[in-house]
Amino acid sequence: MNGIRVLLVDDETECTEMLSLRLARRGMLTATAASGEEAVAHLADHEVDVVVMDVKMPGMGGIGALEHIRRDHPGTEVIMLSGHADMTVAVEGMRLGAFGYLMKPADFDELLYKIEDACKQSRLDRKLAEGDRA
Amino acid sequence: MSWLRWLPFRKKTAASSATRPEDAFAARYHRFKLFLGAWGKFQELMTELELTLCCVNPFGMQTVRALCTRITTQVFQCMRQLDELAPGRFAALEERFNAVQSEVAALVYGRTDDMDGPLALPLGDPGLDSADRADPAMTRLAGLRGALGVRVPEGFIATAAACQRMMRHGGLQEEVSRRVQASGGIRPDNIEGLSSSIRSLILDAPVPDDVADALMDSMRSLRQRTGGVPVRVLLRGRVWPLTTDGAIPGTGHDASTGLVSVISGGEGAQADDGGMTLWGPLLSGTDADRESVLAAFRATLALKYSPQATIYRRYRGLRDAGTCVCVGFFVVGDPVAGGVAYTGNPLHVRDDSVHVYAGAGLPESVETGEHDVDAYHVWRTAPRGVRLHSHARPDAPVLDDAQACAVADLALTVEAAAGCRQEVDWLLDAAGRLTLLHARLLPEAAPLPPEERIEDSCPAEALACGGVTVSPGAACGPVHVVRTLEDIRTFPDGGVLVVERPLAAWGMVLDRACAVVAEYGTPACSLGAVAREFGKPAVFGLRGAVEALSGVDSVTVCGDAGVVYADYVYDIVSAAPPAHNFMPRSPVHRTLAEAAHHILPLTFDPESPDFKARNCQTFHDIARYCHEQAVGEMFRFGSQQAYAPSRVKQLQCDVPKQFWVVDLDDAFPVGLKGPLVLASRIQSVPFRALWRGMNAIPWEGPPPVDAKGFLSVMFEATANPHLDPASQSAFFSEKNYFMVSSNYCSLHSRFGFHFVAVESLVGERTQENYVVFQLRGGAANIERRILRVQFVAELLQNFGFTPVVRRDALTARLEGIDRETAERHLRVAGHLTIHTRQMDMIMTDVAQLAVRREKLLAECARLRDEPVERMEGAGDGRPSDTDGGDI
Repeated sequence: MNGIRVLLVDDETECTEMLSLRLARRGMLTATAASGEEAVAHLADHEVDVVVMDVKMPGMGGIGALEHIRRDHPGTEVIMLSGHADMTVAVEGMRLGAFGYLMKPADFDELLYKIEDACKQSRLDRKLAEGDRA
Repeated sequence: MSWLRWLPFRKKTAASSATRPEDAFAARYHRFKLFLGAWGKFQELMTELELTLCCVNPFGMQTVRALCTRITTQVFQCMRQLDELAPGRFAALEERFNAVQSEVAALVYGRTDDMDGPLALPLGDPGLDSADRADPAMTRLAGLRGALGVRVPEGFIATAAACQRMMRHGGLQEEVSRRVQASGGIRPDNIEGLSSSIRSLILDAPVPDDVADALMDSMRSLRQRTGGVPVRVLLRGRVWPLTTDGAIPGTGHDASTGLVSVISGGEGAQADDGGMTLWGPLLSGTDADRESVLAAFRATLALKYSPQATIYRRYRGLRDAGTCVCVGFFVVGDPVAGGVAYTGNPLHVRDDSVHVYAGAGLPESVETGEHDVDAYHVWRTAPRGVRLHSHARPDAPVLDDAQACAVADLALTVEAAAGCRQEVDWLLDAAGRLTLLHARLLPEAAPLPPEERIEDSCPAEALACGGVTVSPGAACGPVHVVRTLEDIRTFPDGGVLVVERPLAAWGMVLDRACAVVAEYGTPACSLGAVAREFGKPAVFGLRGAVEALSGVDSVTVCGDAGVVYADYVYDIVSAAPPAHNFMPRSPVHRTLAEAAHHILPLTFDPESPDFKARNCQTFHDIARYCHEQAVGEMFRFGSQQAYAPSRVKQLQCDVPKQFWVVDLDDAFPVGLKGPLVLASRIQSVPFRALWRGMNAIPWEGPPPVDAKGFLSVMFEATANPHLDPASQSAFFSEKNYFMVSSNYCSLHSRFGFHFVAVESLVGERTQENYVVFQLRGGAANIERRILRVQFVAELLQNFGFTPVVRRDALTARLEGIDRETAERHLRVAGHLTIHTRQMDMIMTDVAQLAVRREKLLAECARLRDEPVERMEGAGDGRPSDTDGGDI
């Protein structure tokens, strides 16, 4: 699934940079943001298939950004990453529409598969929605 | 349903699905695959949880929370995908999920209540008598002064409440937990960096105003009590575990005297069980300014997260939340000597001389292992003798005989009052006055090994000998010399730690080391004490050991004899007891075990009429329920009139048994017409392998059954309502069917009275691939049915499956396998699907069973070892070219 457009969101920029390089090597088109606000702003101007986002960030935070994204860009799937093993937050994120929730440090292959699955789901849902409108 | 509210743009209606059937089918199948992924991951995590509970390796709360969080998210995924497949039909699941999640969260995240009470109290204050205020080993000092007239320092204690408030202020504790989690837990390659990061966090954290004020008030009061003379103040922290009733495990704390007597508490129970000392900084005087006092307080607290303290807590299975910390502020002045005294030998129960260890200055110099110290043995009774083993300056021992005797007398006074051996910390000032700084129970010595056994079995050649036994026992492992922190990072599991000086910092590898060897040091140093506590053999005082052992591959360390031998010495190692494993009874393990109670059990039978959403009691129940329903939903969807002509075909084969095939995605060739499909035309990797296994070797028919077996069948057929086809679940009264896609296959089949299901995912993602074999039921009585599933379980285990047997139901899994391995094992599963039919009737015929077993093993092995066929142009699994099989 080359060409998947992925936005990586984390205030720890060294994490996003490393991940961005690895995903790009797998043929994905990556962009990064250092906060929930930056992520929302980026999505306003760019089409993104999948957002990979840290939960705990200063300011808007991952959960807040997730709500914005699911409301304003329902065709974009969001995968949450967290360094905090909090099952309540994990379930809350998934109830709010996160496609998946992974613990840091995430296994790269597991994240990759999650991104691919999320993108496929997004495209299938989009196709169904287009079919409804037709 | 609540989780639908996040799908504002999706309107899941039948009409939308019907307008683009292929798109709808593709979307559903993808949802089904997502479900299978979550279900498979959940199974993996359950296995991981069970393995963790076996306590092969120590683990901490970070592991517990991470595991429980991952499990919870997978179960939620299962529910969500099921809801996508069948919107709104299983509303009761949410309530059950919430209930189970709450139970698990309460166990795993249960925060101890905020501690009430004073934040700082002077030593001797009755308010310190409560075991949750301050470590009794610290607070009993005042009692000793009153009861025994011994000299103890003036001071005060920042209570556990003060330390808790500090750690909870501003989310400090949460940030500590987050850093541990985000770094992937505590590992050898990150422990030092993680520890440093956490300690820096604490050093920079603000002290809450009420705590700071309490500390400064206490300092002012201390200054008044000491007459305003500027004397040095030592900060000394203690970390100790609390039981749920607030008591120290295994202690009888006598509040009137502050003395501790031993109460039998089972294996390993002892006073101060799991406690550790944190040597904080010295303040220049009781008039130290606010910033200096608070900085010293933070510095002492931060020591709880030093690498060795972190590893110690994890090895002991102590929860961070379940361990208390208090910090003592003690006026120590300027001692000329200090040290530790044991009123017995911690290694030899028959040696009851007093062992005194002394160094210049504070007792910390004895415990850190950095300096040479003097060691004295003082006889208890007249004529008093003192034997000096000086390790510092032989010409100028730290103590003269009289002083050594005085230290011994101090320790013996405490022992007499307590009624048990004691370990005391002491100070000696320039005026010759002795002060007791700390007193705790001396752990019981291990019984002496029979000397004649050691002499008989020791080989003549030793690599190093003449060392001091610091911890008994014996172990063998690869030598790893540690000089720097870089050497620590490469320390191998099970290695022998070889060092020049037994520094406390090397304790960060004691959990993984099998033994310790040092050129210097005494049993009183911290590293030696922890080695004894962990049950790891340790030999100190082996001069030249570093050079002698460098370059040696592996050694046997005989702690009992103080000798190191080359390679593995069977007679020594095999006779030694294993290292202590604290995990099974630890607070951390208990927490995980209690959480597992809400996760692992499958509390009801999927075939039972009670198998309903509202009856799910555990996460396993919920996930399993979702699995049964999801598979059913896919079958129902595929069988709907709108799709049936293109998606559902009957398998064309020369057998009386009907198999139906539902194409979930891409298994049928495009344009396939008619109601039938040949097995050879089904483009499904797992189906082809399974079909091959089912047909490769013809079934010879039912085994010859004796009268007893026959009667068992007849009785069951009439008496067992579950064998009435009318009472079966919908699936098993349905046609036998396969659900297939190019990389997925699910077989649900009923052969006679037994039910078989085989499910497999075989794709490019090895970690997601699996083969699952399920068998239940049968015509014979329950005892024979149970024997049969056990028989089949054992067969499958021979081929790498992991079977789980519950009564007469078997589930066997093989996971994380590449495509070729999956195909080979699907053939095994296919063969057993057919060839275990009606075997329940012969399960008591031992001879026939043995013959069958060998035959089945041989046939399965042959099928497994066949070359893997490529799908294009391949046959249906039979040796001949004909389609269909003789099942």
